[in-house]
Amino acid sequence: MSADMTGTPIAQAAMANPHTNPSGRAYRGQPTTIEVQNVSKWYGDKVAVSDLSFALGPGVTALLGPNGAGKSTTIKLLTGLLRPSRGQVQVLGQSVVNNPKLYRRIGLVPEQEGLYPFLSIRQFVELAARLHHLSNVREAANAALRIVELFEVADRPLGQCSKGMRQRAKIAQGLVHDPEILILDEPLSGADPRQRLAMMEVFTRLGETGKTILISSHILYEVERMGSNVLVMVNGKLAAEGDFHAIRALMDDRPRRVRVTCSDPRTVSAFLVSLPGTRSIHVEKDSAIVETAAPLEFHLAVPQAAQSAGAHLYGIEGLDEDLESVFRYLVN
Amino acid sequence: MQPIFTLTLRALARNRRSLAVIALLCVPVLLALIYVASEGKSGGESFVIQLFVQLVLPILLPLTALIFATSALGGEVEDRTLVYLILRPVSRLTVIAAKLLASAVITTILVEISLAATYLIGTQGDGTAQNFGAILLAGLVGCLAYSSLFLLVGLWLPRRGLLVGFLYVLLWEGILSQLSTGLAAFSVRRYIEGALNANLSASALTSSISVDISGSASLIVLALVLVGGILISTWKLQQMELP
Amino acid sequence: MIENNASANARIIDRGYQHYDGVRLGQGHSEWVMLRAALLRGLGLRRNFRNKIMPWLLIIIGFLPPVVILGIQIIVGQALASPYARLYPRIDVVFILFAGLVAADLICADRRERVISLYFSAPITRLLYVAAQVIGLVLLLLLLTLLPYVILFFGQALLAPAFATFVSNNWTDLRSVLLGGTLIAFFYGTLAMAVASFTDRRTYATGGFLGLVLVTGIAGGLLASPRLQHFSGHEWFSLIDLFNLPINATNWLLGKTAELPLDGVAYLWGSLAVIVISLALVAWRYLKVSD
Repeated sequence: MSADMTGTPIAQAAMANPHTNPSGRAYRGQPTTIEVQNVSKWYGDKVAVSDLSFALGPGVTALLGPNGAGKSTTIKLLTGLLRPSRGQVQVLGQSVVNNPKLYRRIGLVPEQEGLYPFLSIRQFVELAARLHHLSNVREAANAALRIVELFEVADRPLGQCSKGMRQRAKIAQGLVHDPEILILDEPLSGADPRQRLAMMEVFTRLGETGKTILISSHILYEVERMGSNVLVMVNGKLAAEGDFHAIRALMDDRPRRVRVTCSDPRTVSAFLVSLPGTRSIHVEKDSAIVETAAPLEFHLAVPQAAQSAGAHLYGIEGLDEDLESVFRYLVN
Repeated sequence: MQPIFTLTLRALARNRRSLAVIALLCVPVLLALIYVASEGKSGGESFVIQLFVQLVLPILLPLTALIFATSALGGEVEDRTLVYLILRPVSRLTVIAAKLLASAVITTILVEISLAATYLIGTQGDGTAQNFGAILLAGLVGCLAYSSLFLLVGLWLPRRGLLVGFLYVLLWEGILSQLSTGLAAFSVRRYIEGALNANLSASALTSSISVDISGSASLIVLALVLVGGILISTWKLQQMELP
Repeated sequence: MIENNASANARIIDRGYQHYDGVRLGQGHSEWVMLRAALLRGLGLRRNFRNKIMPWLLIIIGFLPPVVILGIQIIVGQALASPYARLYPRIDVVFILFAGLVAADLICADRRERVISLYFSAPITRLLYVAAQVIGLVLLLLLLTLLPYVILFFGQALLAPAFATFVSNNWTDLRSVLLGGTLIAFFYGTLAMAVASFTDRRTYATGGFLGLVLVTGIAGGLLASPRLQHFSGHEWFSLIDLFNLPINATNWLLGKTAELPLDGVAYLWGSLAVIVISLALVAWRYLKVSD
């Protein structure tokens, strides 16, 4: 799979000279392309997004959060489809509201929007290319179709496409004009595992060429693979930002919960409670749930404890590895 | 502009709706055929004019414009595809103009074909060019004005636009505006009748056309409706959020 | 089943999923349930306020004429003789609007929201479903086409010097109103249902029905008019006029045939034919629908 987007003049300029960015701010050593300042959005009594402030620059950033966290609202605020009730959004140094010319440099891959069932994939992508005033409509469309692996089936009507194909068609229309900023709302929903890997590789490579990529997702391991900068949103607020692994490490001062399944949980627990990191133990019929502040030592000590107790050890399972637990900690 | 225009044309044409509209627009042609089979050439022109004033103008023309115009823009909002036209470096005015042009073109072509066929069949070639032109002109300006008006309605009320337009045509223009001349000032139909009336030869005027407004005033008002609809729609599109 | 799980001081009640062991009420009951649901829904009951406005507004307007006439009679003291033939042609707009709106509501919503497959996965036959909607709509229309005029009749009878004499003198009027009102309700009800069964959007259903009725009304009027004097039998075109067809039939029943271009019984047959065709269309649409 080839997607050679390197060498575009703007990308090179952005990476070379931080002072070309009018806003002057630097984002991890590079100019910021998106700035959000105290943005809130409410509908009557319902607050969708509350006091959001962050800055983004070149590279891949993931927007993480459970359903209803405000990810889609944030994305629409960034692209001018919604106006903030308060605060402002600046993209490439300009306001994104009522500024159609700016869209030449922004691409959006929406999630909930529909498609024109009577257009073929190719026609849909070429429509986007035409509306962006590209001079080489056919070639740009073909390049985009190749990137999303839809080139062979490009003449199929969208109405007859599977969900994964439709999503990839949306991705194609989002990058056909080689935008500096690409925002994707759950772009991998409906894709099979191999396609997911392929697309993630594409996004990573695009990020490396100096584009600003924002991907909203709730799949943690994919986010980890794509480069580790994340924004975490919960309940309309920004709960954490920065390097993903650093956030996890920051959370290490919170106790982890582990379930130990064995034949005699009570006796095993008696040994586990003596470990220095153990905060609490909850004994059930066939397992014990332990809260420990020192997970690594704990995991190493469990087999020994089982042996000393004369019990059969059936399993050790971390209960906090799923996203819900992560968010629960962050919200608390 | 052109890609949006073509896109909208395709979207409007390919639907069971268009067939229903075409079927409806065949009714006056059918009536003209029946009349001619019965009466031959006598009185054909006045029958056709009566058809225009009682059937096409109050019902068929506005409904055709309504169906296509609300679908052109309101339909995109409802189907959630408008975003693919908004997130482009294209001015909002261009989007509105392209949409209006597409829906007006389809409406006008269908309506004018129906009118022309009705007239030619009904008069068997014995009508005057003046009256023929008057009917076609009235049809044209009617299609343009209604298309602009209903495009705005469809944009403003994406899900309810069709119903609101319907009620406007049937209740407001059909019943209420007949009740007083004050209310009638807000009825697009009245101005189309005015435009028709100004161009018909004196012998062709029938009692069902109100003659209280001059042709040029009618055209001005209709032009205002057309331009006003475009401007307000553009403004609305600029303000609009797509949640 | 309540499980008693413990000591004298406590019990645990298990209220989870339980098998139904009670009486099963049978097919007839489900017919009644479907019918009742259609009636309630048509009137907008058990739904939010917005769904109640149109039906109830139309019902109030529908009841105005007899109220007004009786009121005038009480004040002036003079009975208006057999007003029905003058009332029906003016009030039929209300019948048509009501039929168009309620038919669309009953038929289209289930298809649009795809609830209809839920119905058919229960032991409800398609025939039962369709029958419930049609009968429901007709019953509601009877509220408008029949009830006000029956009330008017008996109101006039009560105001007359002798109740029994009035009734026996005007008995033919009452009979015509009963027959005509029923005919009108069936006509508009089945026709509106037929149109609605072709689409799953309510606006198209209501609009299609109104458009059909209006266009045929105007066309029928134009063709049946004396303009087509050389076309022998052109009066038969007045049968196309779906707007007025059942009204004309009712006027014939009432004996007021002066303005009718055709012999009145033709309108009766025409109305019956339309009813049968409409029912057939509805049955066809629903027997073949497969979502």
